[in-house]
Amino acid sequence: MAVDHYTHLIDDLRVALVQLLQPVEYLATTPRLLYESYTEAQTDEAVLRRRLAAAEAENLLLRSKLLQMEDLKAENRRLRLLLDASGRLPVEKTDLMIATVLRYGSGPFENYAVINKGALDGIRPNSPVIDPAGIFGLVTETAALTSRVRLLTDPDLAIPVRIERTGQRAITQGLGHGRVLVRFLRKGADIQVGDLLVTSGLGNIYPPGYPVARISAIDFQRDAVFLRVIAQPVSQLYNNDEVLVLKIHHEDTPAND
Amino acid sequence: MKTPPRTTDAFWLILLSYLVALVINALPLPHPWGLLLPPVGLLVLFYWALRQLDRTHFVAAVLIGLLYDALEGTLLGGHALLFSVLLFIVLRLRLRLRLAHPLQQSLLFTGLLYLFEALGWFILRPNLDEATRIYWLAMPLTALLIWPVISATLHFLTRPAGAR
Repeated sequence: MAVDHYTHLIDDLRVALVQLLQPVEYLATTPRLLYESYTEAQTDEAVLRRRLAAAEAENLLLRSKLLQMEDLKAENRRLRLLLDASGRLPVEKTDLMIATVLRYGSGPFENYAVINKGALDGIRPNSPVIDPAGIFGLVTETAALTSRVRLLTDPDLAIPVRIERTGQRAITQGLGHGRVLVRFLRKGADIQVGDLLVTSGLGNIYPPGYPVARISAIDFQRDAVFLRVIAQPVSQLYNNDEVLVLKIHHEDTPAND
Repeated sequence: MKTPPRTTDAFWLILLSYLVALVINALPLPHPWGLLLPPVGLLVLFYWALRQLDRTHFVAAVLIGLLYDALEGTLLGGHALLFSVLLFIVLRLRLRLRLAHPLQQSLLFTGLLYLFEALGWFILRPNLDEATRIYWLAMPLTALLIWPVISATLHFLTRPAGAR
């Protein structure tokens, strides 16, 4: 236990055990998968057509937004070059991979999800995982066909963030039970309930700009230097069937993006 | 002449019972109902410790404990240590305990699971709030219901050939 707590010497043993548990996890999710395939088979054709039409309309809308984003990205790059900002972050190329959530950990110890993509699909530990709303978690262990994703509400996971409205930086740490603690915000900082926290990109693990959580409570504690700020994750933890794993390739030369 | 049953006779059944126990604990139960489920592998371990007197089952306790550590995401060795401590208590009592009624056994195992929670509070550090703590504290009580089922099922599967 001490070796596991203080060092990384037995990380491989943990990966081997997770690998051993892979068939167990597949067996445990079989009833749910069977139920889902049954309900899918029972779905009316008219309902499916309606869903397809809605998905096509949404796709069109998103593509038009993407066109605008490409333009904004180019403008952003131009302005950055003009400013020649010394502290700018390395440019990253990101591949996305869709993964299905097989199950969530239901015990009281770690907040995690198991996804159906593993080392054979090119997933590596420390890959961020997102859902359509924002950051979902981080891949911690990869077996051959599955991976363990630590949710952002896990107490052992910290994410460097900035407040979108003011740009002030902080770090979120999981509190469990669908909440995160926002650390290192001094008293007198310009924050409000409802402020959105986005990834700051520091640490080179999470790409900048992804929504993380929304501030839900601010507690001015006496005799404390920092505020106690609680936030609610924006992603649908425990309700996601599909998530996206980001495969980031860091590049040294920012201008080549 | 008939030879007495040995652990090796039921090796595959023992292995299968631990696998099923792990699958039950890996079931995707809705939060927070999953907190009510005790470590079924530990109860199966207790069953085999009472049934197979020619072994101490400590190797099984450590291995199953390590698998539970990987399953629950706790420090490697945490569950293994707790399972070994509880198994030791069961081994001390097993000659008397195996003659007791399953409901009496259930009561003792409920007590042992409370000990598991008390020790686990410091070793495994569960992350609980006011709403979920009650589920976690009620977990040993569900063992009262689960143990007779485990005991009856494994008794049925290991009954002598003449009784089939």
